[in-house]
Amino acid sequence: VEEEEECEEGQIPRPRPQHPERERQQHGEKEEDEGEQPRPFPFPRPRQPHQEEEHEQKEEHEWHRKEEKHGGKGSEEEQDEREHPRPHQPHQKEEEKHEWQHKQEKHQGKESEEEEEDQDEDEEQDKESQESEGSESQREPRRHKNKNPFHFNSKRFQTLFKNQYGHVRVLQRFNKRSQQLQNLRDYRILEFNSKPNTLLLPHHADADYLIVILNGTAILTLVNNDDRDSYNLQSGDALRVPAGTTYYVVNPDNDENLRMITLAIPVNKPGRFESFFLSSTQAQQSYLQGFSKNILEASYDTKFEEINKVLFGREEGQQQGEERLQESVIVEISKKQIRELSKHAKSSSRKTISSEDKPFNLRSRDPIYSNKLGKLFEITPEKNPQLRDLDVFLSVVDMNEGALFLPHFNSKAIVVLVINEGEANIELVGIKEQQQRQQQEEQPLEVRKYRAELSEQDIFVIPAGYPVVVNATSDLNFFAFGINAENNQRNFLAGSKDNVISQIPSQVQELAFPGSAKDIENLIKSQSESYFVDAQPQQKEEGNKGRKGPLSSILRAFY
Amino acid sequence: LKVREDENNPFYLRSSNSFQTLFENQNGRIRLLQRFNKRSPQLENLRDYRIVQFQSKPNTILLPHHADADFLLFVLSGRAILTLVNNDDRDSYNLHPGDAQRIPAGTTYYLVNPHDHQNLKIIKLAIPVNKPGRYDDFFLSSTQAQQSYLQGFSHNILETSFHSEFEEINRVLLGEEEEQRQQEGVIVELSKEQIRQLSRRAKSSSRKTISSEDEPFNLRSRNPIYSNNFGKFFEITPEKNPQLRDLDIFLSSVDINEGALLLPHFNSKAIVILVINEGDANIELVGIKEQQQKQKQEEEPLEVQRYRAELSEDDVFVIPAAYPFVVNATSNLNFLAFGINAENNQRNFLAGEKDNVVRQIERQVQELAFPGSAQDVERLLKKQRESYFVDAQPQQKEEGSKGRKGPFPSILGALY
Repeated sequence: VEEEEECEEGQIPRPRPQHPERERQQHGEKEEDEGEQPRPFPFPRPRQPHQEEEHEQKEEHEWHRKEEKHGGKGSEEEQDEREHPRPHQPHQKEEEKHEWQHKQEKHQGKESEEEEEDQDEDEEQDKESQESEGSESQREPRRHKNKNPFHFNSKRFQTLFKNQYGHVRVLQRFNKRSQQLQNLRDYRILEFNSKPNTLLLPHHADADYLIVILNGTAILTLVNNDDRDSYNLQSGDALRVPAGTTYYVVNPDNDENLRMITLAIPVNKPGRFESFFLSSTQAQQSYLQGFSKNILEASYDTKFEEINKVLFGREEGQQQGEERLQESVIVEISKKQIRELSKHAKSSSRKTISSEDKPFNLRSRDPIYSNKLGKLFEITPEKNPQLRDLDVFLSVVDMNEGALFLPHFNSKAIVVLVINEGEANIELVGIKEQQQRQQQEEQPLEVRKYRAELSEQDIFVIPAGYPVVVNATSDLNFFAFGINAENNQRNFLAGSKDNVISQIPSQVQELAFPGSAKDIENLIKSQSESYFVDAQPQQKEEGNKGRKGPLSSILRAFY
Repeated sequence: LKVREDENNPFYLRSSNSFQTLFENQNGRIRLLQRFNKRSPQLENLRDYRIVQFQSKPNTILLPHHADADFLLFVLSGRAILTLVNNDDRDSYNLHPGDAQRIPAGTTYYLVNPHDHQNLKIIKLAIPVNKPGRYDDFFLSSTQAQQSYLQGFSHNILETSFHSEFEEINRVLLGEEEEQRQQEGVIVELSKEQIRQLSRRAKSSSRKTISSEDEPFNLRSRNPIYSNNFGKFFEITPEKNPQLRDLDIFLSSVDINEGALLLPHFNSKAIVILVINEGDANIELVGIKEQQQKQKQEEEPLEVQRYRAELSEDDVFVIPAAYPFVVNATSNLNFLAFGINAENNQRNFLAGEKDNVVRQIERQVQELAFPGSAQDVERLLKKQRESYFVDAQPQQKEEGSKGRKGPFPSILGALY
C-alpha cells in the first residue's frame, strides 16, 4: 500500500485530509498523471472587480450595524443569542463568517490559484478553516464581506458580451461562492437582455439550457442538421435548448426589452461551458475560422479567398476586414426581416405543457397556491418531459406588497430564486457549524439565520430542507429553478394547509414543545390563511415569553 | 490563432506515452490509458471512464477473472472466444472484428485467441463501479504475476469454506510457495485440442443479435449511416441496442480512404473517444481560447483555438461535445469511437449537402451574421455536393495567403 502526498505548486502548504481515493496506487496512477497542472479555466470565468469589493464591504457594514443595534434593544431577533450566553461572542462571530469567506480571503490577490482550487477538493477548506480558527480573531473587519453565501446581487454576474443592443451575463459559479453550494457545481445561471428589434446571432454551446422569458417577447429559432423550429415566446414561457443546438434569438418588439434567464448545465466540464458562434464579429471569431485553410477549401469545394469573403469578411489585401463584420453578437434587425422571421414561428399553448420540445408557459396551469396576497405557479418534472430530463422544477411567484410567503422548506429541491420585479426580504434558517469538534456534546447546536434584502436581478439560493420565508416589501415577482426536483414537497410551518406541524400527533407535540397539545393546536389554528398572508395583521407582537431550551427552535429564528 | 499540437494538446493521448502496462509477457499484454481527468481538467467529465487495450498471441488464453467495472468490449482485429461465467451458467461467443459486447461488472470471464496466426486486439471501455475512474482485476487463480483473491482469506476460513485441510486447498487451488506450479502470467498458452473443446459451444454474433440484451453485436451488420466513395460510417446508438442504452454510449467504426476528409461537424451532446485502429490521420478540433486576463475581457475579441494532432495506430483522441472537428485520412484509415452521453446525440455538419446545420439558418439571419449576401452564402454552401466524406484536395493548392493583418491575429496566416 502506497500513499501519495499531493502537493500542487504554489499552494499554501497545509494539513490535508486523507483521500481514500489516493491511498492506493491503482491502474493508471503513474507519475505522468501528475504531469499536467490544472490550467486556469476558460470562459466563462467569474470576475470580481474592485468595485464589487467595495460594494460588498458596504453591505457588510450595514449588516453589522443592524446586529449591533438589535443587540442594544434586545429585540426578538437577538433573543436566541442571548439565551445561550456565549462567552467569546466576538470571536465566534468571526468564526461563523469564516467558513465561507475563507476561500476568498485566503486567495486574495491570487486569482489563478483560486481557480485551480475550485477544481475540486473543496472539503479541504473545511478542515483548514477549523484548524486555523485560532488566528481568526485577528482578522480585520474588512474581510467580513459576503456575509450571506446564498445571496448573489447583480454585481456577481460577469459580462460576456455587451453593446448598445444588449448584453449576456453569467453568474459566478455557485461552488466558488461557497462550499455550501457545492452541489450546484454543475449548474450556471445566464442572463440575456436585448433591446427592441435586435438579433442574437446563431451559436451553440456545450451545455444544456433551460431558458425562461422574464420580460418582453422573443422569437427563438432552434436549428438542427435537418430542420429548424421557430417559437414566439413571451413572459413565463420556458424551453429547453439541448446542448449543441444552434439557435438565435430575436427581440421582435418595437418598445419592450427582452430579458431571459437561463439555467445552463454544461456537458464537457463541470460548471464550465463555451459559446460557439457560427459567424465572426468583432467580439468573437467564428468557430469555422479554427479550421485550416486547406480543410475549408476541401470542405466547401471553393477557393479560400471566396470563403473568406463570404463567411469571414476578409478580402484579399484588405487591411481593415472587420469593417464588414458585425460589431458584436447582438445586432439590429429591420422590421421587414422580423416579419419574415416571425412567419413560421409557433407559440406556446396549454397543449404544449407536456411537450418534449416545444415551449410551455408557467402560467398556463392554475396556480398551485393562490389567494388575495399572492400566487405560485409551478411546472414540475412530472408534468413536463423537458423538465423531467433535467430534473428541474420551474415556478413563478407573484406577491403583493406587504405579503408574506409563509415559512416552509423544500423537502429535497435546491431552489435558485431569481427576482424579476420588486423587492423582498428573505430569511433562511440553517444550523450553525460546530466550531470545535471536542465541544460538540457540551454546546447546544444553534440555528443560524441568513437574511437578505433582495431587489431586481438578485439571485438567492435556498438549500433543500432549509426553512425559508419571503416578505414582499413591494409588489414582487420572482422565478425559481428547483434542482433535484422530482417528488419535491413544500412543508409549511404555519398556515392552515400543508402544515407539517399539524400532522404531528398531539402526544408527540406535547413531548416536543413546552406548550400543551391544546396550546399548540390553538396557536396553529390562529392563522387561518395558507401560503400567503399579510405580514402585519395585528400590531406587532407582545414579545415572546422566554422559553428556554438547549436547542434554539427553527421557528424562533424567524421571529 | 494559437494552435495546440501534440504534447500540449489536452485532447490527444498518444499511444506511446499515455498507456500504462498492467501486464505483459510473451503471450500478450494489457494496457490501461491514463485517466482522462488527470490528463486535463478539460476532460473532467470523463473521470468515470477508462480505456483498456488488450492484445494476445495466437493460441493463448487470458485467465478467468472479474473486475469492479462494467466493460464494453470491442474487437479491433483477430478472433476471440469470450466466455462469460455467472453463478448458474456460462456463455461462450465467437467474436470477430467489429463485434461489441458488454461485460457487466463482476462477471467472471476469460478470453481465448483461437487463431493459429493472427494476433487478437481488443479495446475496452471500462466504467468503474466502486470508485470514479478506478477499478481492479480479481483473478481466480494465482500466477507469478498476481495472487488469487482466494488467498486473501485466512486459513481457517478457507478450511471451513471448502471443508478441507488448508494444505489440500493450497495444493489444488493456490500453489503458495510452489511457484513452479503456478502459471507465469495471466495470459498463457493453450493447445489446439483445448481450443477445439472450448470453441464447441461458442455462439457468433448475427444480424439478429443487434438488439440483444447480452449477446455480441456487430457494428457492420447494419448499413453504414454515411457512405460514399471516400468513406463509410457505421454506428450503433443506444436507441438500437439495450447494452448501449444501459451505458448511454454509442459505438461507431469509420473507414476513410487515403486523402479523404470527414467533413467539419460537431456532436451536439456526446463526448467522443476516438481510437485509431489502422492508418494515420490529421485531426483538427476547434475550441474557444481561454481568456488570459480578466480586465481585457471587453476589449479583446474572443478567439477560437485550434487543437491539431497527427494520429497513428492506437492513439486516442477526445472530441468534446459541441466542439467542431474534422478528420483528414493521410493513409487508409479505420477508427473506432465511443460516444459518451450518447442518447439523442446529433451530428451537425458545417459543410456538405446533407445534415448541414448552416443551410438550415434562415437567409435573413445568414445575411446579418455573415459579411456575404444571403445569395453568396447559399452559393458557397451549395458548391460542395458531396456529403460527410469528400476528397481533401479537389482543386490544386491555393496560391498562398498574402499578409493580412487586423485586430484578429490572422489565423490562416499562422499556419501557412
